[in-house]
Amino acid sequence: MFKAAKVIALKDLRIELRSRVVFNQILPFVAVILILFAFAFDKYPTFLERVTPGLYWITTLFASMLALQRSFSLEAENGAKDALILYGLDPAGIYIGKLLAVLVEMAILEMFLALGIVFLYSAHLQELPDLAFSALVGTLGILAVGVTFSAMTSASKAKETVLPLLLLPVVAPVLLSGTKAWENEIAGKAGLGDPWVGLLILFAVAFLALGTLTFGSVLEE
Amino acid sequence: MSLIQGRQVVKIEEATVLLGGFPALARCSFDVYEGEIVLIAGSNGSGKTTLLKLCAGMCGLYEGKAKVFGIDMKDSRSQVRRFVGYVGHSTLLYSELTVMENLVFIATCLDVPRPRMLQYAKEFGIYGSLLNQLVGTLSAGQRKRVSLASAFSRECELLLLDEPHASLDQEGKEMLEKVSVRFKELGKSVVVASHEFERMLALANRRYHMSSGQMFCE
Repeated sequence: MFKAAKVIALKDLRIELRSRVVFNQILPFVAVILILFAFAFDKYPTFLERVTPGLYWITTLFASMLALQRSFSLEAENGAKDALILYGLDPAGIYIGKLLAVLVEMAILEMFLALGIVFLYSAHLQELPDLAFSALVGTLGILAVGVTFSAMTSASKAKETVLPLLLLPVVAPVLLSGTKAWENEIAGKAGLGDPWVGLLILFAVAFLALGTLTFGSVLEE
Repeated sequence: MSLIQGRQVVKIEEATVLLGGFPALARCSFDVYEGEIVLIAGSNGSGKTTLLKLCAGMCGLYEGKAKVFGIDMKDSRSQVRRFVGYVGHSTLLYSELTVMENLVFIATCLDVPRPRMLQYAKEFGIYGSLLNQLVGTLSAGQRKRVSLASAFSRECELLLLDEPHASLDQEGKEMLEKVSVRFKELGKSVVVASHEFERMLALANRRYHMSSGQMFCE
């Protein structure tokens, strides 16, 4: 499993380094969302500051969907998804590899996103380690579900619309828990013992386990 | 346990495969023995690709019996994939990686030694500066050559080639035939679905004709 995960993750990251789709297309998309929110709530700076955690998680969710779709469009091209099946790679390894590659891309994107909310929304991100931890676990939860759903929808002609329809309702708990966890962490009320962070961890672990176990069947469909 | 039980590599009896409810294979029977080249001809949509995909464990069996290397394709089709090389209509390559990166990726996935992979690539005319070129910038024929080289380098007991001549120039077709014959001499089996019937006729031990998902021996 680990060999397959390493091979797939390195391959995806190499393609990203060469094509720079995440940085040339998804990063500007993230910047545009941040700027649009800043314009929309320009007259209410204190409100913008208050809703910053929610905006962070909504933007992360949208960016994740684009990164996931990009990740599986690589496999749809030239029948490469069939190749992964033909090569007899461990499906759980493919799942973990795909997830790791998108997680690395999202981690870098989220660093820029955090910088963006500091500069544009004047957010005070003091508890950085706690915020980074909950961002990482929350993103892991989104991707744990998203990798499975992206594989399921990658062959669909309507994948661009089907993926959000499937993914958004399922990851709503991440959006809620992530927002609450960030609100508490920014307010300095709670750290890693926060039950919302616990919920993020629970979600990520549960869907990682589910994805690892079911990805073989998803690939075969 | 020997990989090949007896001399029969593929045994398909009265197989039906449904694609979206449509019987792409309808009570089709077919067999392949070790050390032979089998040619399958037939018009577009006759079921050639589905048959090869069935042999490669890429699609499920609805009715009938199918065994490849003695492995039942109804219950355990995923197990057969490691013993089978397959070249289909798609090249199975990543456009944004170089030829070398693609070959290294495939070699790592399949545990094929890299020198062997590169040797086959060279045999198909892929060497030198071509190795460092992005696959997306190659011609269709060059991509096909890379795809064939990676499939042959597995040195599987059974190689399934779906329209392997498509996009290849004269030189590429000759390379393909030379390697196919060598495989046959090594006791490996090659199944070729091709419209280039005349070209393959001299090489094939047996030939079949497919029509409406059914097989006719010639």
